[in-house]
Amino acid sequence: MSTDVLPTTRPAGASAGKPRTYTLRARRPYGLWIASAWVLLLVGCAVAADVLPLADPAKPVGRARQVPFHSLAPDQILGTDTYGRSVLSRVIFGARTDLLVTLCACAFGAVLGCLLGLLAGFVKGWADRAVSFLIDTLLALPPIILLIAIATILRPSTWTLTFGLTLLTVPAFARLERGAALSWAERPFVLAARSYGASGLRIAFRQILPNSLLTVITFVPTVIAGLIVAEGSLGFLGLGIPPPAASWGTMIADGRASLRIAPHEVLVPAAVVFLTVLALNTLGEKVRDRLEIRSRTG
Amino acid sequence: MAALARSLAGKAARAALVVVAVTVLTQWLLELAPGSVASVILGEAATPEEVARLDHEMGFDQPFLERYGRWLVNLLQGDLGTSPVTGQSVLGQIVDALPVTVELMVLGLSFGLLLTLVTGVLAARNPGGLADRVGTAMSSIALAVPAFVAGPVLAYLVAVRAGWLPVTGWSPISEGLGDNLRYALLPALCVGLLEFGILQRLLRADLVATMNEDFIDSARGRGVSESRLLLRHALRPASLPLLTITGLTVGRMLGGTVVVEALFRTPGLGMLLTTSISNRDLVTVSGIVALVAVGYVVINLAVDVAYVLVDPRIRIRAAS
Repeated sequence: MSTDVLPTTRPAGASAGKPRTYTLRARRPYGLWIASAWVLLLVGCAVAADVLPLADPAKPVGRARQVPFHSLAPDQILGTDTYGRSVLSRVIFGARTDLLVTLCACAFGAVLGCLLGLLAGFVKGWADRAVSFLIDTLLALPPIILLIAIATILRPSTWTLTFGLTLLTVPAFARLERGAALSWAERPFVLAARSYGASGLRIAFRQILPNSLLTVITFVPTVIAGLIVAEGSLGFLGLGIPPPAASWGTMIADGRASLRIAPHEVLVPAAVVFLTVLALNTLGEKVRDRLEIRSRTG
Repeated sequence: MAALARSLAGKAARAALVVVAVTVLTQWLLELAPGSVASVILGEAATPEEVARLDHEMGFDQPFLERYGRWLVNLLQGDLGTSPVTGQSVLGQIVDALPVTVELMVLGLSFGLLLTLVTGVLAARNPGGLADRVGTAMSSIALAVPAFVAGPVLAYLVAVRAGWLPVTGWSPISEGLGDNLRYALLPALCVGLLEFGILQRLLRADLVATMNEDFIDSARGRGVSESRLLLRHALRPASLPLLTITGLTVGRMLGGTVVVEALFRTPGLGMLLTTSISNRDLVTVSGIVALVAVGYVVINLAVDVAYVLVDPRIRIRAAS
């Protein structure tokens, strides 16, 4: 079984091919560098959005539907949308809302999921059964449908969205941490800690959790990529962050109406989503390859 | 065999529990909605008396457990209630919309599987070679193109710029297959793209790992040709996990079709869901969500069972 959040996990033995070509390619990880550079650029822009010389994303800066590069002024370099607003500044302020929401959801989900996973993988028995049942229930709803149900019934808002996205990441993190905890608990040093009288809580939080955290952290970029997709889909359906705040999904949805006359309104945010998801997936994958982490989530 | 039967029965019991939990959750969410269902239907202008009367008619003034019990009994009798907005039976609307969504998913999945088989086999012929890198790059790209990105971009390139296919709309299969396919092709492509990205990696990894096994070497020593090795000795066992994973992707694909149908105005389940949402037709929304969850759990269970029945290794492990 797989979730939307973690679609790219490779099964064990994924890179069991002929190893020679891989070591040759791994020496210069251009992919990793480019991906990191894009993510850093995006995060930098999102953080510094207020300081950068950008137009107000909610106010028009010029004539409507100007094509990209018709003017080299920073406000209009990526063109303007149907209301004459700067596409560049909307993309950057959109990055800010999108990244903030997804990072919060990922952090909440990671804490909650890791605690549940630790409980299931370390205590086992009834705790494992209870946590597995919770995960199965959450996974019984296709992710988008779950988000739609939450957003419809609780009314779309930033908080509803963060709550829904958190629910989406909990099963993924719980499974990862459960698997890691199960395997770390077998190690001799856990037995050693037990023999000098360490309590169960101490072993769980001082021995198993820190060790398994590395595995979990390498999946964070992949989870965030999945969340960006989920957030974008919801925004596209009009159930994301309510206007006038900019977000990538709503930009694409709004631009559809003028696909014929001003395709850049759709193509620019679409390209940004594509590059961001690609970069985050690459980042997670390459880091896992280098650390030789091959975890099955399904 | 008794142990096997017990393990299957355990799986079925768990699935039933999950179904109950999910349906309780969806019905309970209706309670949580701001304002009662009746006040949402009647709008802001309704007097409190009118709202109370409609709430009573629809049974929303009764305790939750009682309401849920009746809903469940009705569900078992094939009645999901009547939409207060359109006045039609919820189940009838779903039955009308389902074939369209299924068609999109089948078409999309066929496209994804076909592309997966071609690129996966080409990649496994020479791991690390050009075909392998191209295939991996294609799947990386496919994984980074969610439906809400693929949809508008494909619509722009294929429909608006080139004018090969209609942008939006639908023509039922009863009015000719050609027209039907012209409308279904683009949405199906969007749905299938992500599946290709996921399946390609699985198949490639599986094939490459199998080609390194000893029995392949021994077959090679017997003089079996490379292509026969790849297609008969590696692809045939690899296609089994591929098919079961395909079964599990149905839920994700359903999420994709919601977005794609909203974009291409395809009258499927996703469109029904989004229009019900914009009409604030919570009865229909909760009906669809509950039914999707039940369907998803049943499919997962079926895949589990099929896997156990088909793969002897799992059967032995379950029995011991």
